[in-house]
Amino acid sequence: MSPAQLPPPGWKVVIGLETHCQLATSTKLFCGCANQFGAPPNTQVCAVCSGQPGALPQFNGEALELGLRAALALDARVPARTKFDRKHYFYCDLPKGYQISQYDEPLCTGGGIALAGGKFVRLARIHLEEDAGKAIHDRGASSLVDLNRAGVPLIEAVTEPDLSSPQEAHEYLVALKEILQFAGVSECDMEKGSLRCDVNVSVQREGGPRGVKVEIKNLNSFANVVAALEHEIARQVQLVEAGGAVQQETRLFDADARVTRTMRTKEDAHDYRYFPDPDLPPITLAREHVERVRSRIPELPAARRQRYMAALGLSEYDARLVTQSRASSDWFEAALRHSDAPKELANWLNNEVAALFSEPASGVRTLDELPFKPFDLAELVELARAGRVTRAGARTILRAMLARPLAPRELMRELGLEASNDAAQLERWCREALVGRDRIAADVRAGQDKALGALIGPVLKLAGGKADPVAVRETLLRLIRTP
Amino acid sequence: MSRSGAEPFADRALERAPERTLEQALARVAEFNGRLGAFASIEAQRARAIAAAQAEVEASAQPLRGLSFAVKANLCWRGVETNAASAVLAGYRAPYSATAVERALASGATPLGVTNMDEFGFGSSGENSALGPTRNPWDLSRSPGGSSSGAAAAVAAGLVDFALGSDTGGSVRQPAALCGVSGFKPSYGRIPRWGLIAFASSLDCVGILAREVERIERVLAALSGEDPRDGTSLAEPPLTPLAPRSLRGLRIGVPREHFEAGVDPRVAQCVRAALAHCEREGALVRELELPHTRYASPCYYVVASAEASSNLARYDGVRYGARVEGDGTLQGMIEATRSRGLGPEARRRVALGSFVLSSGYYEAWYVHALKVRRAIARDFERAFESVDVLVGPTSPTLAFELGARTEDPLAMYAADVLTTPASLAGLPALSTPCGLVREGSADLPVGMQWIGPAGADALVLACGAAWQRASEHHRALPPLHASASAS
Amino acid sequence: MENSCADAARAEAAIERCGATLRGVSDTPRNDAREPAAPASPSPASTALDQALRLARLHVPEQERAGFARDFARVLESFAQLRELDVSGLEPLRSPSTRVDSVRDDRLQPSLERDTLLAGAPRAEDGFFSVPKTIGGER
Repeated sequence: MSPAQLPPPGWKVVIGLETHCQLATSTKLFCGCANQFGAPPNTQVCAVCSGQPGALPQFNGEALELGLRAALALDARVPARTKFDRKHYFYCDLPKGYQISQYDEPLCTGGGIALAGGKFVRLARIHLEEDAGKAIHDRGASSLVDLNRAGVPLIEAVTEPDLSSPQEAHEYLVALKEILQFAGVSECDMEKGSLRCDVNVSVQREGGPRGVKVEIKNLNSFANVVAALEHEIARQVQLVEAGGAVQQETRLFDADARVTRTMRTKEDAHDYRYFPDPDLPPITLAREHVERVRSRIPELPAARRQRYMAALGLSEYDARLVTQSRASSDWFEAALRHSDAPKELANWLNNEVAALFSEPASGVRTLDELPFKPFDLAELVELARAGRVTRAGARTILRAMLARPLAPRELMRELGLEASNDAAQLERWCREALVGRDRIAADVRAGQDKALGALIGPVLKLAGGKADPVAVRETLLRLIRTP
Repeated sequence: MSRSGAEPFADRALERAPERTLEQALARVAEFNGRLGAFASIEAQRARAIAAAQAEVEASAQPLRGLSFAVKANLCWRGVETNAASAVLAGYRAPYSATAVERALASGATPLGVTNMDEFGFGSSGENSALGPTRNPWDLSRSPGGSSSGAAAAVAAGLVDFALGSDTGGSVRQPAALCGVSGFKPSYGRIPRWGLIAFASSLDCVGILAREVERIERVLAALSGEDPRDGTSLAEPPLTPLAPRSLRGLRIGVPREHFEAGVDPRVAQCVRAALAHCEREGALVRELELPHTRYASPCYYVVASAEASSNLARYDGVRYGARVEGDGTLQGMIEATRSRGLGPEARRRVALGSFVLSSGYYEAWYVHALKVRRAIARDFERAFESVDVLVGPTSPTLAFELGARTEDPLAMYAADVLTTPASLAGLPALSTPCGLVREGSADLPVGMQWIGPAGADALVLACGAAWQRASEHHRALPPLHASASAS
Repeated sequence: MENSCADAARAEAAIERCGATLRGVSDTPRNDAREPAAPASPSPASTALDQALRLARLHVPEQERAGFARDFARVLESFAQLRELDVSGLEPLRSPSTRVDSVRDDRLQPSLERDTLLAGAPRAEDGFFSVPKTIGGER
């Protein structure tokens, strides 16, 4: 079923999302081991996060700070007190036989995200919890357990069942990711597994009774969320249309086969036996403390976009592109401190610099891989704006900046790309280009300005990038019209 | 009745000729342990190395310098097998040390070995141990009590100057009473729990056993104080002992319920005689009521089992300890490891705890019990409005024969009825010897329990010390005692 | 021995009874924080004891089953006296600790050496803990 058919005619789709997001702390939630992705297995593990007998959790205050930032950035209600509970189940990647999570007194309730179309997606709650370790099943005859991730701090944001299509789910996730990144809560890097989703989905006929809910677990990319939802909605609709009934169950999405499969049914649903963790005293959330956290939240994407449009004169399109990630927006602002031309800067960032990332030859894919600094780009843009270098010349300099650690100004000189403002030289190039192109000149004289393009190219070629196309055009017109 | 002569306090310290006395101490442990089963392991090499390192440090910086001690098998001691007397932790060597062990070592005390116990603290007789039972030095056919069975027997037999125990519902006080030594359970959080293998986290306390209460005061001063690694430890500096006081003017409350049904009349009589003695010393003794006392035991077993079921969930055969492969699946391995690795009482508690926390029963069992717990704590708060301390028997019975209660869990649970109330409320409580009762051919000790208001650890210990200055009962030595040894 | 079956049946009936009577009060079945799922309705063959054992990953061999069930039931029945008490108006006392806000700084502490961590593992392989093959998906 193609996305265009969702929700299918005559059907209503109800979706809720649970998003797990790793917090950008230095250390784990309850111990001083590093919270860092990619270390050799079992090298960031201590007595606490490996569940040694007698070890006790020590709550990381920075996780509270970041959790509260998320709560406030999402406009949630923060209670006067919160506490931790134990959630019990047995699995090889869960060292204590329970996960420290929050049950009936979560970090916050309510809040939500307004989607572009005006829909408001309500959040039920956000709570803090520890991540489990990682079990690897595709190596050898045994399953292997790495506990580096065990105890990494997470927030889980749970929506109300307010979403009605996979596209809305996607839009919500993009917005959530933006907000969490901008608030400094999380890197939200799906490749590193720092953002993961479970979805709940049911279908019902328009005006019909509520459908039976199916949960799909552990979706680790936005594309997988959409694909899993599309598949699952189609499956449920077909099932009901064929006279069947949807079973309440938990399913897993197989990203390769692009299908969902039963993981467990309601009969063997877990009984997690939550109870308050006696090792962790309650946390009080005094108003003043919460307000101090609020004052530390960096400007969020919506506010930045608004400011870029109102104060800097960026188009909505450019403002949106610049704020598509915290990194991009921060980069832009760093460059802006060295520039008086925000629009040109945004334009360069969104077009010329972005183009580098899709060129394999550039060797860079993200802003933080760029070998030059924001002020270098500001200088380059300034050179182009002042006419010291043509746009084509500036593009050449930009690529040179990838290879050599020199200022744009120096590269311009070294590459001989300084734009010529010598009118006599320009006229010589134009005259040379006109030789043997009388037909074109005649067309231009007859009023066909479009024909001029066939002359500009050769001039620019002769000038080797030093000529400004606008000046070339003017000179050509003058020469053709005043013989 | 055997009595030692006047024993000047701390005269058995290892100070005068440390190497020689340490070797003597180790030799005595080796000699006696075959009969007592008090030690799970004797750590002679480590003891020598530790004593040598301690000798390098200025003695004045080591308030416990020269004292020998023993570590209960549920307190982590880096590199030493710390198996909590459970087969599921067979071979487990902790990669770190408990705060209590660390602080004792830093204070100059020398550990001789690891003591036997009821598995994870589940029991009141020492018999629920994968290592076999411990025997009572007063009568080797009897239990020393539990769960700090080995600790109490080792102190009673004079093998160590003090012992570290743990007390969740009476596990230091009850064996101290049955072995005729002093045993102290501090206020909840006084000694940090870091490194104490958890049984029931909201009840577990590291405790201290010694013959003299003054020695317990010294040890507590060294072990207490906040530890950032235990977020529930009391946010207070180490405790300083109070200046010695007498019993004059002390307002002692005697809970009527602590002398009721189930208390052996000989035990009751012995404690009443001790109270009369206190009165003669100038204490103001009056009866009062703790009306919820009879609910303490069921309340305790609901709460403690619930927490135990959670705390023991980590024994899954994945990361440490024993593994039983079972049917070859992960969940089968976990089930086989737990079923074979945990002893019968541990399995019963874990099953009970899982039951009271499970969906549909949680409010009616667990939360209800926590409300009863509040009522029990209120009883104490009310009592302490009019008295300074409460005194009654520690154990309702004398030391019982090994095997007498192993078939009946409820009979075993009855051993805690007088100690669980203070545990539920988190109060400091001390058991001190208060006499002997002749049974058959044996003299058996009776202990009196001193309970103080929350945080009043120093007061409780000062009372116990005053009692010991006014009485001789703690000087009574069992037939099996190191002072009788030739070596 | 011939009584053991009857014993077991009686004990298990007693456990069910304890469960049923004590279940009375306003108890919301709990499964997941977000949505109170339907109570795990035990199939007829499954008893409360089975349920508890399954949750705790404990297996009691058939020959010990009767004794285990009997003791379990007796202990549960002894707990039942708690129900006599009117606890309305009492706040649950979860811990004697009066502390709040025990937090630490976000500062790195040394982890264990991997060799130390894995030294006590029943099985280790290439720096990992090794367990029987499982397809995963428990979480």
